Amino acid sequence: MAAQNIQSVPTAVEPSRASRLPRALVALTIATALALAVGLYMALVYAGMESTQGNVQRIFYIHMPSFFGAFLAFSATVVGGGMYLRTRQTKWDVLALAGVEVGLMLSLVNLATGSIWARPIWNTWWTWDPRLTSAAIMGLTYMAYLMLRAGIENPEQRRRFASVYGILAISTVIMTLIIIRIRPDTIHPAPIGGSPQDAQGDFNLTPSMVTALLTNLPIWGLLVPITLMWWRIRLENLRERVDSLKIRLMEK
Amino acid sequence: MPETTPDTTAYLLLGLTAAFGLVMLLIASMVLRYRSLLKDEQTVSQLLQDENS
Repeated sequence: MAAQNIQSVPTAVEPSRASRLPRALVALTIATALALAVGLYMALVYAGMESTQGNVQRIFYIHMPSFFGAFLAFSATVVGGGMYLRTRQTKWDVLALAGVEVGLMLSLVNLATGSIWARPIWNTWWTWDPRLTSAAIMGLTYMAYLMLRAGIENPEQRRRFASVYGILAISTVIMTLIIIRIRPDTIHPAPIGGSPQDAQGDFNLTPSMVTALLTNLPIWGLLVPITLMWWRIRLENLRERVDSLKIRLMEK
Repeated sequence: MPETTPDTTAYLLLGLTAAFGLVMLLIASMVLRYRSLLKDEQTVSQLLQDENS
């Protein structure tokens, strides 16, 4: 394996491919930053204020889309893991890792915003409700993925184990997604379709709220995860290159 | 008597700070790791060049 890495490394003085920045990535990053500003405007200015909750309800325009961003990133982990197991090409493992790191950050955004929103509405920062518990388990599951990777020295074994784990871990995401449909005792409202019978803090979306939500969904659900994953992939590619150079130096 | 809307703006600001703070944390972590790796790459390349010459 090490020998394969050494062979793939160009001469030491050759400039790093990682230092060349693709134009598409620059354009995507600028577009994402601008879109985030637009999304914020839609959430804070365009959407009307919810009369029973006040301004805190505007967190919704980040809280829900960030979950879908995490879902996309974790789906990339499934694709990357599956493709790595099939082809054994490192690039797929890099995609899987990028998906976990970005997905974990977005699920933490989802958890943090949910907790802050809950404080004035449910009068608590946290409760062991089925939806909240499953979201916490999801976050912990993906933290464990990173710990698993850090704990295995052999690169090939690490990639193989992480691929299998990343594929299995998606079950926690699906469970978080569907739990409000299968557990009627959750207090978490469902913004789409009917809420569970015990839901607290239900609200009706006005047309301006729907527009703000539909604007923020592709921003937090697509643009943010894709842009960040691309940057993370570049970082991992550079790490792979540096590791190969180190092996080459040690074998001299 | 009509119900008044509560002032929950402070929680909104806290939520926005948490959301964008977490995004910035990941970006900052990636930037730091990238810079560190570029330094490593430069050092190892130099050492390899010295070995070759």
